[in-house]
Amino acid sequence: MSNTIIGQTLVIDGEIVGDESLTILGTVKGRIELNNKLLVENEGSVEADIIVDNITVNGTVTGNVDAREKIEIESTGQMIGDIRTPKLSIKEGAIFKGQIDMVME
Amino acid sequence: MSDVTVIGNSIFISGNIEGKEDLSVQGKIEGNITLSNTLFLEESGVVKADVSVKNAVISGILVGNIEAEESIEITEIGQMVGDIIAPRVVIRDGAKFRGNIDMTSYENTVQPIKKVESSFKRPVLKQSNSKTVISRRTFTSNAGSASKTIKKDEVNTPALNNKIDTKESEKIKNAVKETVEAKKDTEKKKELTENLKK
Repeated sequence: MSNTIIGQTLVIDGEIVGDESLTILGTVKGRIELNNKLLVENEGSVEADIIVDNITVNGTVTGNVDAREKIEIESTGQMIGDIRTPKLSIKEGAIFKGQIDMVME
Repeated sequence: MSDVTVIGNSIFISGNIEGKEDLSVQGKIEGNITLSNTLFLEESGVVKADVSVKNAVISGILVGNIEAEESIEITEIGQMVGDIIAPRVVIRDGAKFRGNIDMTSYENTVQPIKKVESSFKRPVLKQSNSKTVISRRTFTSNAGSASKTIKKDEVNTPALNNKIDTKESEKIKNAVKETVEAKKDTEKKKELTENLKK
């Protein structure tokens, strides 16, 4: 599967739906729904409700996140919103505000 | 890497996209696209949008109006339905297209600036005489100012001379006073001696 990259200067206002991994260096506002991995890089900024398999946050994410597998907030990551995921890791230095619901199965 | 944005095969975006970099679309986009660079619509790409870019290369399917600052190319495998406004348009053999093409209106909006630039350039040659005249004027004005300054100097120097004169005259006056006083002293002495003689 090819990897989709949203470059630094790009601003997307709307909905992104897909089956492949997505890397965000720019700005996305709206909604993201992926059956794959989402990577928000350092410069990346996301203001959206997100439904993905995996998400790794190095940049800024504002919105509710629903991950089927795992959420990782790295040391440079900032996240505001409610989380729903079976696996979660928040590294030292990360900033987080919101509710966490770890799905027990 | 950071200058290339790729919208992959399976991605569907509905909404506005804005940016200052090249955008390669292999997936689907519905909405508006505004780029200050080049849009590459790949073979698998489908765009239903009003597009405003600098350059566009369409190998996929584009439905909507497109406006390009420089050029639009529809390749052999490209398909497009919509209106094109661009100064340069290339439609390769095999491409499919339905719509209007306007290669003049953008020129009308863009070229007057160029024409103005050229008309600026041409007058530079024609107006070079007038410019030299202007420069002469400036020279003359400079000369005038220079002469004025000279005049000022001339005005100043007499003033200085006057000052010097006044100083000298004061000296002279002082000298005269001294001599007068000296004379008075000598007269007084003479009177005293005469009185003493008497």
